[in-house]
Amino acid sequence: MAKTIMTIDDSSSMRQMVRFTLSQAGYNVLEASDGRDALGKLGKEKVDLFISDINMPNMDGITLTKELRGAVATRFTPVILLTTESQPEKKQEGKAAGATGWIVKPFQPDQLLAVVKKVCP
Amino acid sequence: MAGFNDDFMAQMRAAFREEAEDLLGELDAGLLELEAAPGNRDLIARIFRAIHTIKGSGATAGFAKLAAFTHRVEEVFEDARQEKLRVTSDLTDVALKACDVIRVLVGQNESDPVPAEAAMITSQLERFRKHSEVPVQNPVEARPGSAANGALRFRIIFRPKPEIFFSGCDPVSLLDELNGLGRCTVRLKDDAIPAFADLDPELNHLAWEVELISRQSVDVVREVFVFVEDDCELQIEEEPCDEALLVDNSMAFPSAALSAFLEVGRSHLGALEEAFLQIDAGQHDRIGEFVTAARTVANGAEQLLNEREIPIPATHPVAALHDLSRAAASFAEGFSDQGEKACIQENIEVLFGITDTLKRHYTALVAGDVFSVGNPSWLQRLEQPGGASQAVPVKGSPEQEQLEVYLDAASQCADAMNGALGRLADKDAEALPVLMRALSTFCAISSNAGQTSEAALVQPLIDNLREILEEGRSMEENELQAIETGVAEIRSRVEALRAKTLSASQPRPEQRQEGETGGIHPDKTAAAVSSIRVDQDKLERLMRVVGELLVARGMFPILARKVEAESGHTMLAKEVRDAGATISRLAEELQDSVMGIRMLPIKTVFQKLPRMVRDLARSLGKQVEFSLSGDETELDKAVIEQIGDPLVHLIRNAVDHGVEAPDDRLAKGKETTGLIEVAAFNQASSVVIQIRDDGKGLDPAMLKRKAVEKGVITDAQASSMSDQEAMELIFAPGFSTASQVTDVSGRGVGMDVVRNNIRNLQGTVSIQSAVGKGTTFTIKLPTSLMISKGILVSSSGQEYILPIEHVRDLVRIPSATVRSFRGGRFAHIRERILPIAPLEAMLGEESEARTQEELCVAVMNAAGRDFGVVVDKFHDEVESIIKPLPAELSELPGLLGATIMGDGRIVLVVNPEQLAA
Repeated sequence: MAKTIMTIDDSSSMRQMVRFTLSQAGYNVLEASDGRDALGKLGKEKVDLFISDINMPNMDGITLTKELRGAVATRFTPVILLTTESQPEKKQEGKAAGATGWIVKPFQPDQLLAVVKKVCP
Repeated sequence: MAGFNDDFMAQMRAAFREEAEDLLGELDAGLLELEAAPGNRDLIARIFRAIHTIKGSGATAGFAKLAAFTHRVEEVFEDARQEKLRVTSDLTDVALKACDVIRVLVGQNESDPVPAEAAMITSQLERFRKHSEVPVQNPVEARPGSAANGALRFRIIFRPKPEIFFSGCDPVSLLDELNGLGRCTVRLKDDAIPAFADLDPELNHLAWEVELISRQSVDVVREVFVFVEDDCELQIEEEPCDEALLVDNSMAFPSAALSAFLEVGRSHLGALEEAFLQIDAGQHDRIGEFVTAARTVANGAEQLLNEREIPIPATHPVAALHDLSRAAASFAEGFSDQGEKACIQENIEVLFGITDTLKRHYTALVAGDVFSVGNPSWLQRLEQPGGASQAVPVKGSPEQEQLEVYLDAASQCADAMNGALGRLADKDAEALPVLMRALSTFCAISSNAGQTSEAALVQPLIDNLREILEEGRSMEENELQAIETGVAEIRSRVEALRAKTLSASQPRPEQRQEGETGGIHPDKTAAAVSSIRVDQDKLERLMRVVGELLVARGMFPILARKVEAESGHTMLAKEVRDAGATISRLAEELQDSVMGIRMLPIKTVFQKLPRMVRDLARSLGKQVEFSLSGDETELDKAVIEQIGDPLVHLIRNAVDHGVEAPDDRLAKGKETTGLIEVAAFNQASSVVIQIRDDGKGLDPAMLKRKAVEKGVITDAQASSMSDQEAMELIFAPGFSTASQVTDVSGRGVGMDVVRNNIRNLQGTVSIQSAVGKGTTFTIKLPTSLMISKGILVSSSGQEYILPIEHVRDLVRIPSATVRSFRGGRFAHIRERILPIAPLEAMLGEESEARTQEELCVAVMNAAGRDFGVVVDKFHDEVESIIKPLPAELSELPGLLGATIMGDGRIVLVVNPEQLAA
C-alpha cells in the first residue's frame, strides 16, 4: 500500500514541489499550510511521514514536532524538518523536539526522495 | 493565488541572484587557484560544490536554462572530483569562460535566449570528458582509506539511546541500509535489557554489532547514521581486508552434501509448487503437503548448514532457503486447520510469494551464487528481524509469533500481579505501585496485541487502583478481592490462549529429528520404492533385442505353413504354430515390461503447465481456468523428453491467442474466465494429448487472407481451399496468426516447428476449430518409438512397409474409374476425389503401367492431406523395428529406413511425409 506523507509548508509552491516529487514516486501526499493546519488534518488518515518547514505562521515546525511526539498516534512517526544551511542551531532544536531528520534547503527532488526512503522505507 | 505564486517566484529569483553572485565570485577565485595547483582535491571539491549549488538552487528558483548549462560544467568537475579527469590549464580556461556564461544566465530572464558561446563551451567541456576515459591517477592526493576501492572491513557498534523511537527512527531500517552497502553480519546485543518489572516497552534496550565488508568508504558508512548521530553511541572501526571476503570463497559446502540437498530441493520445491497451485485452486486440504514440502526443504537446508563449522551468513542462498522455507511451513501451518477459510486471497498471495522466492533462492544456489537474491520486502515479516549472523529458525507465522510474545509477557504480568497481591495481603503498601504497573502494562500489551477483551477486563481495576493511589489510602478488603478475582481471570484466559496456540503448532517437535535423518520426510522414506539406475544404452540394447524377438516370432506361422505344405504333417504344423503362439505371448509380455521400464507418466511434463498458464494469464490480464487430466498416461521416455516444448507452445498459444480478454468474452456472452483443458489418454497403440480452449477459434477466411498476404499460398489456391485445409495453414513455415508478435508466443518459433517436432516423434497433430467457440489441437503419439506397425505391400516386385499411423484405408478400385487431369491421376474413392500415384513412381523409380482391372490403393494421410498410393498387393500387418538406412543410402527420398523381417528379409519402410511433399 502506498505510504502517506504530509507536507507542511506555508509556501504553496514549496508544497507543490514536494507533492509533485513524492506523488511521482508513488506516495500519497497530504498538504497543510502550517503546524496548526497539520494537527487539524490528522486523524482522518494514517500518516507515515511528516515533512515540515520550520518557519511558519500560527505554529512553527519545532512546535508541531513536539505536538506530534505527544500524541499517541504519531509519537513514533518520522518527522523531517526543512532547514537552511545557515541555521545549524535549528537542526539541534528540531532534533531535541523529536525530529527524525532534516533536509537542507534548497534541495533537489532526488535528495528529497533519498531522505524519504531513508526514514520511511 | 496566482499573484502570490508569481510574487513568491520573483522573491526566490531575487534571493537566488544574490546567492549566485557570491558563489560565482567564489568560483572565479577557486578556478584561478586551481590553475596554479591543478591537483588540489579540496579546491576541486569546493568548486564542484559551488557549481552544484548554483545548479540546484537555480533549478528550484526556475532558472531552467541556467540549470541545464551548469549541469554540463558540473559533470566535468564531478569527473575531476572522482579523479576520472585531470585538470589542465585548458580546462580551467574553459571553466572560467563558462562562469561568464553563467553570470549572463543568472542576470537574464528565462525567456531570453541562451548566449551564443554557451554551445561552444558545452562542446569543449564534452571533449574534456571524452578524452579522459582512462582514469588518471592523481599522485598528490592518494588518501588511503577514504577513497576505498579495495574492500574494507568495518566493525560497527550501534547502540541507540532508549528514547530513539521518539525521534521517529526505526533502527532496523538503518541496519537494512548497512546491509545494502556490502556483506553484512549483524549480531544483536541484548545485554542492556532490564528486568521485566523495569522494562518500558516504548524504550529501546537493544544494541547491534555489525561486521560490514564493503567497498564503500567510511564516510558513506557514517552517512547511514547521519540523522541519529546524537541519539546513539556509535563506533565505527575500519581496516583493509581481503577482496575475496566480499565474495566469500569459504562459503563452500561439501559437494556430496550440497548435491544431496540440491536433489531434495528440486523435488520438494516441485511438490511445494504443485501444492500451492492446488491451494490456489481452492483445495485447502493440500496445505498439509505445502507444509511438509517446505519443512523438508528447511530440514535439508539445516542439515547442509550443519555441515559447516563456520556459520554461513544469512545472505547465502542456503540460509535464505532455510529461513524462508521454515517460516513458510509455520505460516501455512498457521491456517492449515481453517478449512476453506484458509484459501483467502491474502494467504494465497503470501504463499505465491514464498513459492516464487524459494524457487529464486534455489536457482541462485544452483547457479553457484553466494548471495541470495533477498526476499521481497513484504515477505520480511516472515523472517527474523535484522538478518542475524546465523540462520535461526523462525518460531512461527508473524501472527502466531506475536501472540506467543504477548502470552509470555502477559504471564509475566500475571506473575507480577500475584506477587504484589501476596505482599498486599501482608499489608505491604509498597506493593500497590508494583500492582499498578503490572496491571497497566498488561492493559497496554493486550490492547496492542488486539486482545481488547483482556484490556477491558483490567481497566476498572486500574481505575480503582489509581483512585486508591491518588487518595493515598489503603486498600479495602472488597477491593482486594475484586483485584484477586480479576487476576485469576487474567491467568485463566492467558492459559487458555496458550493452550490454543500450542495445539496450532503441534507437529513441530519432530523437526530436529527429521533434519538428522537426511531431510527426507519419514512418510516419503516409507513410500519410497527401491530402484536402481541403469545406463540408458543398456536399456536400449535390451529394447532392440526384444524388438527383434517380436519380429522373429513372425517366423513361426511361416514355418508352420511350410511344414504343412511340404510334409503334410498337420499335427506337427499345429505344434509349431502353438509353440509360436506361446513364444509370441511371452515376447509380448517381455515387450510390455521392457517398454514399461522406459515408460514415464506424462505427469513430469504436465507438472510445470499450471504454473506457466497461471503466470501467463496474469501477465496478459486474462482469466483462465486450467484443467489437466490423464497425467498418469505413460509415454516412452524419449517422447516425454521431447514433447514438452511443442506442448508448452500450443498451450501458450491457447492462452495468448485462443482465450480472449475478459471484456471481449463478456461482450460475446461468454463467462469471463476462459477454459483450457489438456487431456492425455491412450487410444489403441497411441497416446493422444488434446489441448482444448473455448476461445475465439480459428477463422479460415482470415487465415487464407494472411497466407496470401505472406505469400504462403496464391489467391487461386486460397479460393479452392477447404476450411480444414485453411486451418492447416497455421502449420505452414513463415505463418503466424498474431498480427502482432507478442512476447508470449510468436518469437520466431512457429507452429511449423511444433509440427516438425511432433513428426520427429512419429506423431501427428491436427486441429478442430470453430470461430467463436474455441480450438482443439490433437496430438497423437506412438507409445513407443522403437516398434512400429505397418502394412506390408509389394509394388513392382519389391516389398515395402507403409507405417500404419499414416494409412487411412486400404481399397481396391476399378482401374476404369481413374481419371487423368493435367498430368495427374485422380480416383473416386469413398465419395472423395483423391490424387493417386504408383508407389514406385512416388519413390522416383520408373513405373510400369498396371494392367489389372482392379487397383490396390492405400489411402494415406500425411502433411495434412490425403492421397492414394497404388501398389500391386497388400500383405499382412507387421510389427517392425525401423533401423535407419546406412549413410550412403540415407539420401534416398521417400524412405524412413529399413527393417528385418522374421524370415530375415530386408524391407524398406516408406516415409509418407516425403511422399506427400
